[in-house]
Amino acid sequence: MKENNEKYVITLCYGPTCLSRGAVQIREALDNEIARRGLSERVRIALSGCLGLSDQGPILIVNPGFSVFGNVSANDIPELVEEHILNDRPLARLAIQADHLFNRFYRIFGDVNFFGKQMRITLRNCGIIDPESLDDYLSLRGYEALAKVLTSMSRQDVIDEVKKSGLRGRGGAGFPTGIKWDFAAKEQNDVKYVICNADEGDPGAFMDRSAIEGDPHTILEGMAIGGYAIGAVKGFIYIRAEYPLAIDRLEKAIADAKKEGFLGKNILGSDFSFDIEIRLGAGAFVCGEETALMHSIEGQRGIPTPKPPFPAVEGVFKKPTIINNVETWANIPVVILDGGEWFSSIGTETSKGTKVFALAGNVRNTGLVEVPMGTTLREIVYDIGGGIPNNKKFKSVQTGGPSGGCLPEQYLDTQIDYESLARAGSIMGSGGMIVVDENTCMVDMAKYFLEFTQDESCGKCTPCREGIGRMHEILLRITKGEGKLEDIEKLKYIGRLIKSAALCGLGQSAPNPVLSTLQYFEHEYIEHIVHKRCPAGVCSALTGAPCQSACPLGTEAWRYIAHVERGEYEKAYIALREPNPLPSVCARVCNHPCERSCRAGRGDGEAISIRNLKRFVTDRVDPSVFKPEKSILDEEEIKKVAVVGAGPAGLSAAHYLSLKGYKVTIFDAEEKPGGLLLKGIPSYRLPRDVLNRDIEFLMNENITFKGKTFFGTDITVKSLFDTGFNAVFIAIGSHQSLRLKIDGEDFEGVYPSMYFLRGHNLENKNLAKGNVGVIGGGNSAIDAARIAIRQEGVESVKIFYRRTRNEMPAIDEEIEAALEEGVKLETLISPERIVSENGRLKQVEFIRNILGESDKSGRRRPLPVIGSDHLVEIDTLIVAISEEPDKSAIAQDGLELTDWGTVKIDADTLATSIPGVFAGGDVVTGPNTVVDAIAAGKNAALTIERYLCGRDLRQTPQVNLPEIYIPQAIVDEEEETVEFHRPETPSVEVELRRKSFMEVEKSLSVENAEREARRCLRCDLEFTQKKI
Amino acid sequence: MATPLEIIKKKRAQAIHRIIEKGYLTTRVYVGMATCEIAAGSQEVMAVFEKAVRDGQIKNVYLSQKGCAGRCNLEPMVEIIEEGKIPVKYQKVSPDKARDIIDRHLINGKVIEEWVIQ
Amino acid sequence: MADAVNRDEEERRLNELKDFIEDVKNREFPDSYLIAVLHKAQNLYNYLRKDIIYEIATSMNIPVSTIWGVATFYHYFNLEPRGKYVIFVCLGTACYVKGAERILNTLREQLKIDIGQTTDDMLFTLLETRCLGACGISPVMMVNNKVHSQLTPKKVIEIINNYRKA
Repeated sequence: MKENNEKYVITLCYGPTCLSRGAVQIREALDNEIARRGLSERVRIALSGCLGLSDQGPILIVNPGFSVFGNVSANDIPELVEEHILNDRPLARLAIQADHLFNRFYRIFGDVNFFGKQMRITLRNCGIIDPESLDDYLSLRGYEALAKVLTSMSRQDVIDEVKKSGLRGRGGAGFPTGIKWDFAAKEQNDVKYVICNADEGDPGAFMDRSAIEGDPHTILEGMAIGGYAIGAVKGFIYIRAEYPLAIDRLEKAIADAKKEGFLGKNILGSDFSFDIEIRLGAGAFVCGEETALMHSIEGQRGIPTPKPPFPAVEGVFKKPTIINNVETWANIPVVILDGGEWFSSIGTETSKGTKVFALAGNVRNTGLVEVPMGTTLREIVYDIGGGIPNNKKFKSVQTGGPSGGCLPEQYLDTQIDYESLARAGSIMGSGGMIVVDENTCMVDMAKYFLEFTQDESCGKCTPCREGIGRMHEILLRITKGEGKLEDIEKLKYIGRLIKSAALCGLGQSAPNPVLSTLQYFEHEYIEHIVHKRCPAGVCSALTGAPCQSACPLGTEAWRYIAHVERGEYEKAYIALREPNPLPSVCARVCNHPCERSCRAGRGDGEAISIRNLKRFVTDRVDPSVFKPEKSILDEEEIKKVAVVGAGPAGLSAAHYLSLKGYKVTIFDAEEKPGGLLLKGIPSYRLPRDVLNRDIEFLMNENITFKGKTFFGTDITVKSLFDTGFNAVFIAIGSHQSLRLKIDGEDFEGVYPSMYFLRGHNLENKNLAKGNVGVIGGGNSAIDAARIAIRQEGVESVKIFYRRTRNEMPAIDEEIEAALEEGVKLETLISPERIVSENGRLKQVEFIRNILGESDKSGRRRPLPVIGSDHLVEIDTLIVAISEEPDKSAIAQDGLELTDWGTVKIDADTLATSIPGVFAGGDVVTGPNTVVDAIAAGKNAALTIERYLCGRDLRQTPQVNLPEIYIPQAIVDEEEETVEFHRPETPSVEVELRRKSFMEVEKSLSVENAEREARRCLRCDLEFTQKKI
Repeated sequence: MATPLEIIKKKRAQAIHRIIEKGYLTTRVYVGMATCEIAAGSQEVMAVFEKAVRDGQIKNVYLSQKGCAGRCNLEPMVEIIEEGKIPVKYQKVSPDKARDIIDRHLINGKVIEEWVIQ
Repeated sequence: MADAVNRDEEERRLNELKDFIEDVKNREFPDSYLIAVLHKAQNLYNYLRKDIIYEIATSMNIPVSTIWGVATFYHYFNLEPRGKYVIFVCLGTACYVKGAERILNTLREQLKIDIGQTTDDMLFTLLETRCLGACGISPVMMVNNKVHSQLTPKKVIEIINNYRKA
């Protein structure tokens, strides 16, 4: 049986007939079967409106392949899934013929990845018909709703149908449309008006524009029906002047409709007459507010007026008016033709029908999306939108335009409906949905929205006119690094004030972006205010060059890259060595936060290959080129510092302390220094001679190394002080593997990852045999897997991870390399128990997972799928789920620990609960990156120096902007025209490296290095060029 | 007197008749023509198809524009629907690609898989 | 000769505007068409010239102060002459997130003017706009009626140079 790995979309018709014949039960059966079979990453379910084959319903379509099945029942589902999805054999007995009418459906749904979860009601004709052809519109039942209304429905019938449908205003406020019409209908007045609000001023929203450009007649038809319902004979379409094409198409549609008798006097031979006139806006966002809009139609300044009176009672030209959004109007013909009851069967309890969203921002598939109410944000962003491109991390989804709020990851499972979005702190709005990734600053975004609303404020009421300005001033200060802690409360206070006191919707909702970002991203505000940092690398005054600002060590990547471009390799080395005593190590194993923040890599761009450029330099230049400045202290100033742990944190601390003239002794449990660099990271990633060379050059006469010394037994904090040390830095890391806590973990053949890694790296032990399983998704799991696959006697290596590939914390390049080398990866799977034979591991019982809703941290919880347990034959199992510090080592008198077993410190001073004792690196944070550990060591050296000199441990944070000016290299004009792409990291071919521990990665060639360096956008020049 | 419903049904039949006369049931070529499509260059693409029809390079083709299908970052889009076959949607079509599509797909009948929306 | 042409042109434009206003006066609520009239005037004259505003005031019997109030309220109306090419940089949310500010800064540098200003050679006017509705291909800018999409600072420089050469 061939293994079928295709991805499928199963579309289920949710039209009225199919629903009445059991479509819901089929949906449930599908959900169950897919979860049970572990197929949730391969199969998606989509719902569609009526497909026009009701007599053969329920209908089910499987794509790709466009296999159509009719008369389907829930009982057929297990067989269908088994045969079609697993065995790639479509079920013949249920297949039906689809005639060319079906092309209409497939034309939209054929693009399965994008349209799979959508349901097109409002946009039913968009992308299908020629918008300038009345014939096209007629051929798809155009104006039939109006005809039906004029033939057999009374005014009250129409209103009742709209009420039954539960349709709510799609402009953002969500007022029940039927009720609004009822009010207007009941007004006793000869003259009434109908208005279509096509002002669409929300930046980022283009639903209305597309709807009008794609299907203008449906608006006209909807408005005519509305006019009939309330007793109006005139309608206005107020459309913004910035939409010239939409205006053209509307004008043509009105002219054509008039000619054919769908507008004008005695429509379709009835005694109902209706005319529509277009009125242009003129660039005022506030005219999207209904009272302002009506004043604009009256030829005045668009200034809102208080309600009551409501438009339905006293509207434009002081007559009863119903004013609805474009989308609302587009739904009216459907409500009439397919019935209010059917319409209300779609959506949630309170929000019926579908909603169109303009999906934009940092998402793969941008465009217009129409989904049933109740669809989750996650489905829109990931399933339809395709997720965040360029390997960036999701940060927030913003809905409702400048009146809305920014929601974080934890709220991705929010169902879209008016109430739930409001509860979460945002609003539905008109449908703008912007996805932003990690390179977006939420403070900056809030400031941006305020700039907009401030500009568009009509100026009439004080809370809006003055209040927004004040809030903006505060945000401006914060983004410039001049924020104060009390600003946060002040923003909240002013925001709440404006919300309750402003006259119209613009003012009342203007504070929303600020309030929602304060609610969900307060830590980002604090970073700006207290630490003078913009984590996203956006606020210019706080960031300087993003690569430098993102690096925990503050390495001026732009500086050494500029030197590489100019061929000045020694200067480049000095630039990268100054802040980092382990540059060749980082050049190989760093997780490069600089590249994540690199401006060239934002959006769809390609980040500069900074780590590889660093390696290029460190490979070429002898470390002796860098001569650090050393301080000489007077006798009585020389103090002794004990550094416990010779990993990156300890080595870094020792190095910087020694430069200040202190005498440092490094203690370590192993024989040689290096910590995890030596015993965790394998040599094909970090060759031993490279590591040793860096260590050799950071040592000097002030540093002594004492190996084979265990913290907690051979030495303790007390013993160190007793033997004359003046300060202690604890940096022993997290080297104890966590246990799975399942049955059978202690059998032979089951190894904690640290034991396995150390065994290989320090003692050359080949512990892996036969079929190897690795549990975990972090770097130590990948290291273990790649070591295992190289060991003698190993047949296969498979990594089992409980979430999906996207959630694996390991460095992407590492996962890729492992897969290339033949390591297999199975996701959404967890071990339950270990089965032994003769005291030795024989099998592992696994259970499959699906991802549930996000927990507080934003990560989705894996939920076991009942009935999916199965046994897998495994000869060696390596447990690499996480690590923690050695409990016995840190169990010392007076040393306070955190709840999860790490050493507790003051985040700003690195001080522990014992005076004179500091800690940093993995022993404080748990497993973390090399560069963070080096930074911790560097900071420890600074804080210990302050401690030893009796100075205040706390320092005010500084902003480090680029200062050194390095002109760009002169280039040949011709060369510039060829676009150069980020080079791939040169690697040894898989066949060669598979069975050896030779270094896998190679250095860039000189040509590629210089061209890559030239690609750098030189974000530093903005700051350094001014000085000349 | 005919009711509005009866009138509309008749008008619909007439409209369908007119469309079929123009060649609707043979091969249909739709070029997206909304603001974002035009911004991406769909007018130039349409011009290529129009010229091909004028010069007689392609016959029996119903060429039309259509509105926004929602796939904003894949524009300009060209959709080709042939009788009995699954509609083919091409993405990011340039005038050069349009000429290729006319040649390889419309005249020689081979769908250009690499350019189809996945 | 040029003078005669200009005078003819002036007369033609004024007549076209006056015809438009006459047509408006025959409709219901003629005052409500003020904004439409201002749009027409701006289309004809490239901006709202003071003398034209007086003309409209007289023809429609609306006080100049009212018209001035309306003209200054709406962003779309220009009270200063505009360049041959009016550049609208979209600073809508989607464009902003994709780096529209850098596009704006590039334009500022290239043209040596700020938003709302026109270059000395009357070639370019730089304006900002919020959302042209082409968010899927952001960042975008509109020059007269042509939309340029998926901009980068480099592309912008190229586009400006192309307009200069034209």
